Amino acid sequence: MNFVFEIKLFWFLIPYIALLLLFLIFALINIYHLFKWGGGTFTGFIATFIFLAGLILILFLTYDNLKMVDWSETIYSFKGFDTNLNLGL
Amino acid sequence: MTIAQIIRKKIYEEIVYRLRRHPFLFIKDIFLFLLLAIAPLIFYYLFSENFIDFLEKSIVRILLMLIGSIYYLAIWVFFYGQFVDYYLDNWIITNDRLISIEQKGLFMRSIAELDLYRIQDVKSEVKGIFGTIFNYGNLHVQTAGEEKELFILKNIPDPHNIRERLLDLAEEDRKYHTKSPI
Repeated sequence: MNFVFEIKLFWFLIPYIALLLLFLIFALINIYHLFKWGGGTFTGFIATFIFLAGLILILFLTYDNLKMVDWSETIYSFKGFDTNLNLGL
Repeated sequence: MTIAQIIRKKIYEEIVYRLRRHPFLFIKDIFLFLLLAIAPLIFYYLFSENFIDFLEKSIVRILLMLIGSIYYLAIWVFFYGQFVDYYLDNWIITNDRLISIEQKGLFMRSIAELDLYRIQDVKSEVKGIFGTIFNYGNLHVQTAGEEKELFILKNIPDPHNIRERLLDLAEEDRKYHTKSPI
């Protein structure tokens, strides 16, 4: 039985999505603060609109550049020793 | 929530000043953001001339896209956070009170107030080359009594004039409070 260790490309998506979620939580908390305590001003609304537009633009550009990638591709493969002992007896 | 609701404005109260840090301090944040946004592009341009073969590898390109995406998301969210922090730090001077509202990071917000008639000392200071050019600085407000409180209005525009106006308002409030016994 051969032990094979493979690193797939989608592994890199895991920390990416984790960080993305973290930033989205920060962004939502900031938006909440701004609307709760900012006095509901036009400046706050415009700033939030620009922020969300920028966020969507970054995510769209990332998606557009990476949409053709085959994430199941193996980028590194390590073959371990054969665990079946064949002593030739 | 409107500002009147946040400070629970009394019927007879008038908002005289709503102060924030001088906009120049936020412009500094904008420059920092632009610098952080441009820096990777410059590095990429310099790097791509010498390491074209390395960068053309699909795995490297994919990793750079992911790292670049996270980097730009991080500075964009950070920049928005800086704006929120700047925008939500307020000092409100009414004809009755001085209210300090400060947003400290994501999870801390402090609101404090003092009655103008309790003001004893007010000190304004403009420091540094940018402070002098753009006329911003700190205003230190101290109350009288056994439990002395110190309010610092940081980097507000035109602190000397606001100091004078604050002292006038405090004087008027003191007259009102001495006239009407509690």
